[in-house]
Amino acid sequence: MGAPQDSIALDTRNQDWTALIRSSARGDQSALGELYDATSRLVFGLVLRIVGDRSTAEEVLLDVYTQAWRQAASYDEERGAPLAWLMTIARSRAIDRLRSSKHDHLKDPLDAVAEISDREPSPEQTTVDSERRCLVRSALQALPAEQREVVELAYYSGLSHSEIALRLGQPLGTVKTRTRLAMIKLRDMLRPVLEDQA
Amino acid sequence: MKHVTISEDQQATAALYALGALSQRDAASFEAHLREGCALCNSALEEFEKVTASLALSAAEASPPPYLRDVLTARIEREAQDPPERAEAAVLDFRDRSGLTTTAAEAPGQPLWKTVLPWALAASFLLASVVSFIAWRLDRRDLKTQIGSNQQEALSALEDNLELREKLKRETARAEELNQINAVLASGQWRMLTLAGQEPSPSASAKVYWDTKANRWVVTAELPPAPAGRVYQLWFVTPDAKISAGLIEPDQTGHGFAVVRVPSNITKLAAAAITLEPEGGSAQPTMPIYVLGEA
Repeated sequence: MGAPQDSIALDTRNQDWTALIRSSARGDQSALGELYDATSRLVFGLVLRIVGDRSTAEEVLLDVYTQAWRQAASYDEERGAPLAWLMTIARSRAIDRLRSSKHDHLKDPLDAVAEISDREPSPEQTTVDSERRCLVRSALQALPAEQREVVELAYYSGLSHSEIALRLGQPLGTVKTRTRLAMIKLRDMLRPVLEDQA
Repeated sequence: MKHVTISEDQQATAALYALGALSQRDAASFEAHLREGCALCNSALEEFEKVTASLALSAAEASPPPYLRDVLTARIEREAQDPPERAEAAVLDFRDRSGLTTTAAEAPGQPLWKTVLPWALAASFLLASVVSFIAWRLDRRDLKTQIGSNQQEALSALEDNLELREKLKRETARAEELNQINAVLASGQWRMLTLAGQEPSPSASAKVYWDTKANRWVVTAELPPAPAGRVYQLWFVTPDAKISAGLIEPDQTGHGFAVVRVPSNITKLAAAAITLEPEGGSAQPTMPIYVLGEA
């Protein structure tokens, strides 16, 4: 339900970014560069939040855009907006990295989450997203802590429900209930922006 | 099995599935249920998937270091010349012949990254160039005629590598400076002195971030290159004395940085200044003032 201007700006932006992905698919390297310039702060923010370590995040960021370059031809705008596509690649690469580094006992994902949330947020660029991002953040904040926790462990740490149960020392049923309630609340709070998806 | 209302359990399953948090077995059985055409579960999932997608926006934006874009450009350039499918195809033919080709099978950069320290980013870039060079080489029959240009490629990659290392070093140093400045600003008790360029170099400038609680100066300066045998020296100027605050050595770009402790016997400060002095510095300023700022 964002202001109509916002919706239009978002549409225009999505068209621009889709065009950049199409050009990348045709081998236009500068188009990928432009896409990087436009989106890397958002993507890097997510990757950093997941892996919790700058130098690892930098490597993952490179992997994300390399994968975007390789898979640009298979991007289907019917299935999601450009940013959602990039963010999906980003989350999956970041969680892969988190899992593989877990074997190297590098970092406990929970510590990483705590460490990052302690950090001061960097100044935001003014993007058409700012309103939506604000809404997503306040929706998360509005959840009861124990519900937010399960969502964050699943989303940012890539843990399965049984891993979450183990970590929190809670029965599986409790984790399921909390996840269900959290996702329903988020869905209801975010409904205004879910339609024009990222 | 289709159902007319969605149970809490099914809702939970859809929510966990959207978050990617189901075990493989549970995910497979939920997918089977979706394939049966259950409209309720499909629509619940669709909504939860949108929620999951929007969670990506909850992380704060962060700026990647500028040199990463150059590394990406180099990577993409390489991929454009030698798409990974190509390298893989070449390897299938050669798989059994040598260990070398197995390395070439790996997509440029990726598994290699894992084993190389982040600091050696530029070095691994070179390594990846060599790897793709090998893959590329295997893919070509007219090896002899191409080898010259390949060597040139490797050489220019080496130059890029050195340049990137320099950049990386500068970026790392700047990041450290920003940390120091942030620490001062975070102290809550600070002052900033702006030092203006004086006659020898009006465009020179410097800033002193003064943590008045910890009594510490974080100094940044933009100065012209010092003539041979001369160095820049920083001074605390009090109403009745000029006290050395040490030397400040600008890098190739003319950017200087120093962190100094303000001596406790300085109770009143009139100004801060940077002068040009003979090598080793002076006990009292002897040479022209380059930048000066009143406290």
